[in-house]
Amino acid sequence: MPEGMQETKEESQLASIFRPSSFVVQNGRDAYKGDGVPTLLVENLSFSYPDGRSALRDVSLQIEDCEKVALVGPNGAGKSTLMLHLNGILNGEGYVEVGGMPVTGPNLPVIRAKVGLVFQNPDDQLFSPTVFEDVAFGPLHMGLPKDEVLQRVARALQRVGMSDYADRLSHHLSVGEKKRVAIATVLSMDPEILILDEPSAGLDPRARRALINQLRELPITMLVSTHDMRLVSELFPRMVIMDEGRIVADGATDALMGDTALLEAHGLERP
Amino acid sequence: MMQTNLLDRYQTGESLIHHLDPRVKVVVTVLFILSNVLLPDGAWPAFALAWVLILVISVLAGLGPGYALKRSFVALPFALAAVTVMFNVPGQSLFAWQLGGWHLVATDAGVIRFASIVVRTWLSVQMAILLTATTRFPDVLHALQHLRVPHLLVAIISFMYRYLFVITDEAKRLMRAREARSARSATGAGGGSVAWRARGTGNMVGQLFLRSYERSDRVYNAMLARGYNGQFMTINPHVMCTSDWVVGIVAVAILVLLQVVGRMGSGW
Repeated sequence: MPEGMQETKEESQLASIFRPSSFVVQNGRDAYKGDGVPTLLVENLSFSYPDGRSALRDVSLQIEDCEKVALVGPNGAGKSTLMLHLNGILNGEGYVEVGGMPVTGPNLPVIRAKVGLVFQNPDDQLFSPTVFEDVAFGPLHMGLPKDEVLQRVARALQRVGMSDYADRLSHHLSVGEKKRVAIATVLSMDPEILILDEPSAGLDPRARRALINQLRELPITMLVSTHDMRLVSELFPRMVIMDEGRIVADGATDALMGDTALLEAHGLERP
Repeated sequence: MMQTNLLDRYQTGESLIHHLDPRVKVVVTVLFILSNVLLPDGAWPAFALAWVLILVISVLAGLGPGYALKRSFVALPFALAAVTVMFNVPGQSLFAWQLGGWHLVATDAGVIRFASIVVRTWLSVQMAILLTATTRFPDVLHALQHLRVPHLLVAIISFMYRYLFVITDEAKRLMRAREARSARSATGAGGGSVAWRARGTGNMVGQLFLRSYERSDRVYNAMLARGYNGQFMTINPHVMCTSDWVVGIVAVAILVLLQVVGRMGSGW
């Protein structure tokens, strides 16, 4: 699988280049708030790994400004694969747009600043020796001036309550601290949407509680993949269920949580 | 999970040495090692002086005089690789061995050279130990960057430092999992053949490689997701101030003095 992912990264995405960005409006979707542009738009996205395994089948999803959406489903449902498409690390067939900007080759540097993608394992996310360097990595690669970078690092660390940790070595942190720093590493880029893969996995109850409170307070659009159904009902008004590469349900969390048959069909449990 | 503190040699402190700019420390360490190499064989006064310098630095750094000495013996076995010079430098023969078909004759010049090589290694290792004890590793990396060491090289060392701990932990988990299943029945001798065990160990090494390989892919994705485009960019806040320059110049002067002392006896 690793070799395959390398290849697709480099491939150009002809399919999406030929779609005009006005496609959205022509398609008759007009229920946007704010500036009328959805923060995230995915249209008919399909993706197969080079070994032929189909990971995404005809996925369409739209997320508005400041919506907090949970993405649930069994392992192997395609949640992580979908997330890797949202900032162009993987390129499938279909159309992806962030804040009105298509996710295509020339836009990628800007897209990656707009999409704050936090990976599941904080040891993958935190690759620099010190916390400061990790949080500064994104802003530095956006080409911001030094003062601005320093300000953003300070602000991002403060937002996750880790201000005192700037000089610490990443490998000395606890899992909970690593997760919070991992979120700071993308907050420092001022993203339009925060995408988290399993943020509460491996946390003890106290660290999990701290993380939930932190996420609740962040005034930012969020798409969070998780198996933690209590987290979902507590934090996310909207829930998307994926199974076998498809979106099988998308709606209000309260309603979907009440549908026991639906949850059981996709290997999920009520909290 | 973090049990690899033994790899972190940094000793927290507020001494003059701790607060020196890391560039000064890196440059002086490299020059010190170079100076040891350049000292002629048997320049004992100069070697002794070099050791005094190390003692003074350890005391200034608040580590106590024996700090580097105690930790330096780890490296001595490597110096033994030079043992052959005892026998192949021409000079007065001191003693002889018959080793199989070989007739080995140790010469006085050979023994002096061997002893000098051991002392040089031992001194150099002590200085490197002092560097890592008084400088946080990320600062050493910053220093290398400031000193124009190629970015790619610094990045590789930086990743090595970061993931050394992660991979050590992974290896420990694998080993623990193996131990947990290394049962033996109450009657029979457990185990299996040496070859069978070796295969198990080989599989573990392979596992470790595969995991690291897959991790490298995920780390690369995490870098791409934050705008990495093949160019490494860092900020490091180090600024050379007057005291750094003064210490650096004094240290270089001492090293020059060492060279002079070392060469006085041997007529340059």
